[in-house]
Amino acid sequence: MNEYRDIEDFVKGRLEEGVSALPPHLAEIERAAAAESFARVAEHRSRRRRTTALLVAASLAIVFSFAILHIDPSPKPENTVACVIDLLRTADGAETLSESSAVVESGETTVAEMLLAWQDAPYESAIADLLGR
Amino acid sequence: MLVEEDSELLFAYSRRGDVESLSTLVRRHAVWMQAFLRGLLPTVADAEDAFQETWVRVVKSAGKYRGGMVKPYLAVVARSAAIDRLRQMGRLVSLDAEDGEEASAAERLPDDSPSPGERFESKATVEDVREAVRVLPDGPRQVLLMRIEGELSFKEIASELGVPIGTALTWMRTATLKLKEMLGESK
Repeated sequence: MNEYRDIEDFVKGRLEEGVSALPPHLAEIERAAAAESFARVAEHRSRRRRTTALLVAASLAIVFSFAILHIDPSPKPENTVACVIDLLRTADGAETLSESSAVVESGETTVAEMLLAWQDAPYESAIADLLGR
Repeated sequence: MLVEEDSELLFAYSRRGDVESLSTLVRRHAVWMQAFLRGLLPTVADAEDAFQETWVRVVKSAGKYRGGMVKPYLAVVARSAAIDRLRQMGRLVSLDAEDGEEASAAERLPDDSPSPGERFESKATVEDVREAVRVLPDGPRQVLLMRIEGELSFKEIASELGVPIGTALTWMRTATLKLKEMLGESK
């Protein structure tokens, strides 16, 4: 049992007796509360927008990756390189390539000239050069 | 009509941005908090400014509220606001410095506390009581106000003040004995 309870109650009663029940600065507090609430909601929305954008980007990346790797029947770059290498193995094939109309300018050297130069080069270098282009 | 709990009001504001719930909370805790701050600060104007500062701090940290007793939480925030104000005014007294001094002061006080069943009565006015509280040393004054207005446990008070629980109990005893001594004269 608190032997001082009476004094405590008396002091508490007196301290609160002369105090107005109307909170001081209530309007300012409400304004601050509204502003803080608005800022919190805005931050929440901004965070949600960022998350949504990230999710959409990730979903698109997954869909495109799936489409390119598993669905698109077009030849993959490495298959194209393999075909070129096969053609280069024979002189006829190299000639066919050099005469191809699909010659693309790359600086001053045409693809056809480069292909002719590769005839004697090791396959690894040819593949690396092709991929590098 | 169903009266909402303090925690429900604070949640309503922190989660839904319901300013009206916060206003209800401010009105509900206005009286004791002003009494508490007036006991800690020298003037009514200081107490009113600290009152506003307390609620602004509550508003800013409302998003972190995870439940629990609201009144002791408010008392801790209000005390912090009052301490900062005293610090700005250069009137903050270190609690550590008076620890030993207050403990010995309590020992020197005559133990003429009322026996169980004896009711304390006084004709002391509001101003007498305010003045008596005002002249208490910092430590006992803070413990008294946190206890009777903030309704904190002694464990919470000791933790908040950074003192051993024994010191908090001693300060409370010091405060009540000194008040009895001062206000008892007005019987």
